[in-house]
Amino acid sequence: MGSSKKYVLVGGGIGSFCFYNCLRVHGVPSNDISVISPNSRPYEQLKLYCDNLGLKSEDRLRSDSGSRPDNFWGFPGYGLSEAVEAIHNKQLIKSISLLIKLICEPIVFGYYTPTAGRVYKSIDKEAKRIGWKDSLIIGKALSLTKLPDNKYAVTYKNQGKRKKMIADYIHLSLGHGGLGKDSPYKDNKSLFTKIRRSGGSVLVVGRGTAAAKTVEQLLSINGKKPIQVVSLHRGELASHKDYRNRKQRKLMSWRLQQFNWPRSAFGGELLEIINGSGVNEYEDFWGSPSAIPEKNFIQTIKDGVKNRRYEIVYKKVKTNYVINCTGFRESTERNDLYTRLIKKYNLPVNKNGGIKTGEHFEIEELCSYKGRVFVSGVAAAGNNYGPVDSFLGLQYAALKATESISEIKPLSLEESFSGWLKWLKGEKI
Amino acid sequence: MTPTLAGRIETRIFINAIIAFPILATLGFPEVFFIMLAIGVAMDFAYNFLQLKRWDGDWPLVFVIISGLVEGVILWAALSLIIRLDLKTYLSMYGIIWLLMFILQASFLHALFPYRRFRGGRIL
Repeated sequence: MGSSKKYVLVGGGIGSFCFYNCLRVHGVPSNDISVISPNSRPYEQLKLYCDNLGLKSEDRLRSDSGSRPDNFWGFPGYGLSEAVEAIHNKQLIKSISLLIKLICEPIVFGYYTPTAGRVYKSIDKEAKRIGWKDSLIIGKALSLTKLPDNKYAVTYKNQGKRKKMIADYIHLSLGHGGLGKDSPYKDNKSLFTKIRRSGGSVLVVGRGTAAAKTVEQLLSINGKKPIQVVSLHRGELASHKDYRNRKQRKLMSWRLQQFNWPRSAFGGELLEIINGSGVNEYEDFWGSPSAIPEKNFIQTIKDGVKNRRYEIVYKKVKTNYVINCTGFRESTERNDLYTRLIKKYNLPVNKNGGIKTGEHFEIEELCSYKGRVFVSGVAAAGNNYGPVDSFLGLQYAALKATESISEIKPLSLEESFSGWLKWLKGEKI
Repeated sequence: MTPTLAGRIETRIFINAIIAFPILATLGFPEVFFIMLAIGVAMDFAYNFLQLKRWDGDWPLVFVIISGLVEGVILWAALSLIIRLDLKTYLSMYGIIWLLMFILQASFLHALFPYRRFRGGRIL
């Protein structure tokens, strides 16, 4: 018999961190929760992906100011915090220009986006405040079993030993699993060095952010030997108008949009529409892979075409190198725990490769009158929330899951405000 | 945050009731409050229509500021038909009320109603 906790969070990334934060803010003590993860810091995997993509700490992410996993309330956003920090550092001009940017976004200087370093630092700070380490068990979860008494058993490996943990509520958020060997999210430094040295042609498969970043990086290499870059896209953009008759920006067959879904799909009108009929119906319009309309990217592509160093093809061509930037979204089949769970309980999987869930991100087949198994992040894709694998989406999923736990009461006005004041002062909870 | 029509109207009624009403009632213009609210709610339908025309379907802060100016002008036009009001007095009164409401909406409202941002700004 193993130990027992009320809540067990499997995976220790941003998805689990958001749920942990939500529970703690709603008054759940840290000793009621266990987090099983091979990583000690919640952003370790995220940072690894960013590092491999060439996104350094000072580079800005594709996320807005209010989407901050370290702040349950979303206010102040990263932007305001950065402006206040600039005042403290006596950088008045920087602070004023940030405030102007925030007030005038996106009309004057585009949208504010936080740097990767700011995200890491603020998650560290919040993790300390809410006692993340007190609940953390460094280990790897192996399996999940539904027990006859409405509880669940998680087996995991910790310090070389196989252990078991019993829980009333389970939250699964295991991220993107193993990626293909030619994925840009893997360490590709040696491949890039090789390409730089030898020159030649490179095929970049995909039209999402990673593909855009990879193409941009390759085209900016100014080595002695010429590099030819070819993008392989699934096809020309069939329609760049959605059902509202809104036009999508495009550049050749790159879809251009600031965030991976239109902003109102995160919490406005489009969210309500998607909530009603599911993601699949709208994904082609709003959630397909897209690139950020950054000046630098657009210019690099245009220059590449002009100098005949860049082209887009719709059928595979022979090149010296191939970098595959697709497949970041299919996760359940690459993750052993998910694969086994789906097989064992015959769980329905949707066409996006996500596990089918109810509106509170619960896997209905595994729930009982009291017990719940939630799934968040990329493995919950294709249900009724589009951007579930984003900072704000993970916070949304965490909140929806918390809402369905009957013993947790929603925060009253006073509770919310005093909780926020504590956050502002950095007071431990 | 991206509001829905219901979220807009609820938020407007809430912040008007706790900021505009006490100020206007104290200054002796309670009727101005109702005219201001009616114009605002009517405009919310127009804003919502325009917002859906945007690809992102969002309503950035700069639009909140522009809509504050537009409503200020409409309210002035409406009031000058009913009561005699000096422009300077009107500007300072409207300016202060609007600024306080803007600050409340952009800041403390998030701290008081954390679930709003995932519900299109709805309070209820």
